[in-house]
Amino acid sequence: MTGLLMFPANFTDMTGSLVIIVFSFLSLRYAYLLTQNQPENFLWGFLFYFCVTLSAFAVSRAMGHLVKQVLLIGGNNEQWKKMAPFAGGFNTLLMTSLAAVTIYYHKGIEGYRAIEKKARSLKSTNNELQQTGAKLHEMNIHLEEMVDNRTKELSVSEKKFRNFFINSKDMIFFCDTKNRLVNMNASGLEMLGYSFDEQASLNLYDIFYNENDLDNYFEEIVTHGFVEDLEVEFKKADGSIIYVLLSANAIHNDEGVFSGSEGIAKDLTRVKTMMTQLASSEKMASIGQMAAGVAHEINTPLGVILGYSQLLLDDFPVDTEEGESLEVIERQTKACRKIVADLLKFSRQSESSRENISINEMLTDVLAITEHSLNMDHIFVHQDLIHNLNTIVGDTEKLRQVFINILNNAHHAMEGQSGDIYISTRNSEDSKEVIATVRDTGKGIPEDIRSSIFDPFFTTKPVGKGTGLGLSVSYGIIKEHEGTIKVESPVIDNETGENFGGTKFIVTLPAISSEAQIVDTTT
Amino acid sequence: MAEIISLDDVKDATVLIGKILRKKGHTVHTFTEEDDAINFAEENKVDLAILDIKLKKMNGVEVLAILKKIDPSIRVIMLTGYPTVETAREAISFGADEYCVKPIDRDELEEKVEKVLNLT
Ligand SMILES: Nc1ncnc2c1ncn2[C@@H]1O[C@H](COP(=O)(O)OP(=O)(O)OP(=O)(O)O)[C@@H](O)[C@H]1O
Ligand SMILES: [Mg+2]
Repeated sequence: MTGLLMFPANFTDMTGSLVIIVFSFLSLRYAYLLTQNQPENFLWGFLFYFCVTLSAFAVSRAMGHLVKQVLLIGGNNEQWKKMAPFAGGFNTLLMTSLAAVTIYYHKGIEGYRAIEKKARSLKSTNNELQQTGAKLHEMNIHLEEMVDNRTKELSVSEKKFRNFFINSKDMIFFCDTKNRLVNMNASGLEMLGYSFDEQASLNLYDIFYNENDLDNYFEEIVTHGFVEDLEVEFKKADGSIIYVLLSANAIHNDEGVFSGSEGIAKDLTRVKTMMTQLASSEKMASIGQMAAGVAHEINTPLGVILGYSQLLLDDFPVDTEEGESLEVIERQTKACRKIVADLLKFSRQSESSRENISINEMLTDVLAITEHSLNMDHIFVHQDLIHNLNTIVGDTEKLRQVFINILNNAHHAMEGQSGDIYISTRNSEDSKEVIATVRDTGKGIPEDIRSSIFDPFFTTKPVGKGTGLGLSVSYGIIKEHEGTIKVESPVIDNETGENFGGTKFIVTLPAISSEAQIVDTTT
Repeated sequence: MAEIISLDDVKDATVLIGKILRKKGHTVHTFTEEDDAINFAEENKVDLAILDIKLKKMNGVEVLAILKKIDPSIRVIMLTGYPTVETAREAISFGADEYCVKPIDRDELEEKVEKVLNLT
């Protein structure tokens, strides 16, 4: 073989060797960078090792070939022959180790995978843990929020109930098993006239007026668990009575054991008095009708009796016994006539006139008639008539009758003792009413008859002294005038609370507006 | 003295009026039936009629109207045990001179009769 003929092959051999060295080192560098980047990656480790070997191989081979060429070109064939087996052996060793590494690579990779799997599972558990942790955290935050919200909701509803408890116009109370008061709202305390501090010492026993009612209440609560619309009387702090409508429930604790009762009570006193007033005004209306009928029938025979007794008096002078008897007949018949006339007035069948009336003037007229006989009995009249009193419309004669009745009653109430009568007039605050009061310092009206005094024929006076029609007639007249007549006894001073005793009648009549009055007086 | 008729469904009442007024010197004819009273007034000169409002068949105001037709100059006193504004107004509108509520006093009756008879 000539050197010239061998040149392309030798050239290729030499440049190829150089190229292999360059490429293998580039690979090595790249592999090194990979291992640096992901040191834990087994594949990159393997690749790095592979590249190291490859580079070593490339170098050794290139050295082998280059040295060979240099030696051959230099004609040192002998020297190459001695070296050749070593170079080949070195290369073989390199390749063997490379092959071995490659063969065991799958084992390594398996190991790596196992490790990685473990690592991954560890990581995932870790992740899971973290997630649960986060969730827990979130829940924690949420829980706080939830508790917060619930608390808020609860406090809203608790506030609602508290407001209900506090603001209710009805009485609301809680009792323990011994009927001791645990709590009562302000309305309840007010209804009963107790102070806030007094409630602690109260028992339903103090509140129920009738012990029977309380027994019934408690029995119902214990046996049925509730009472509904029980009408009972409650006793106020001052001993007076109010009528209430009571509903209540038994309370049980968490173990279901009876632990007391809770109740709500509505004050019906006003309703009740209104009902009785209504009933009594109905009663009066029917009595009025009856009275009219009776008056009709009775007046004729009365007239006959009266007339004949008066006729007979012509024949029997008053100084004879017959004359005296006739006079008694005449007097008593006249008394009957008065009753019937009162009844008629009361029946309101007799028409009323309507005229502008100054109550002050009317009262002055009345006093002109009555004051003398009052003074004779050491009863003195004190007037307090306001000068700009509004005018009212009505029947002067009838209204005069009302005040004569009231004054007569006051007179009788102070019989046998001296006393005072205070008459006052004023306008109501809104000027829509005129209020006239007559107060005496007499014996007063006991509570148990106070509601009856306006009833027809109700009297505490002996026969012949009173017929019990005075106030019922007055009541009818005032009602006809669309006013009210009320009584107070004993009289308590509004401001000082001083007890004056005696009785006060308060007559309230609608005033006419000033325009209406002007129109009326100019026509 | 005057010719008077008295009409009331209750005999005792009308007789009583008769007795009282006769004592005063008047001539009094008492009736309990409306027709009798009206017939009497048609045939005789009557100065004054005293009529109850409540009668047997008619009411006093109707009798008043008839009597006034017979003799517009007749004087009339109405009596009633049951005064109402309507009957009072009616009675006055038919020309009654007085309207009295029973039971009437002897003095009051005498006084009213005197007054009515002296009207010109
Ligand atoms: N100012 C008063 N003081 C005390 N009691 C009174 C007073 N006014 C009324 N009464 C009581 O009210 C009752 C009824 O009074 P009323 O005027 O209706 O009838 P009367 O006075 O008994 O009889 P009359 O029909 O004669 O008036 C009286 O009997 C009396 O007991
Ligand atoms: Mg009286």
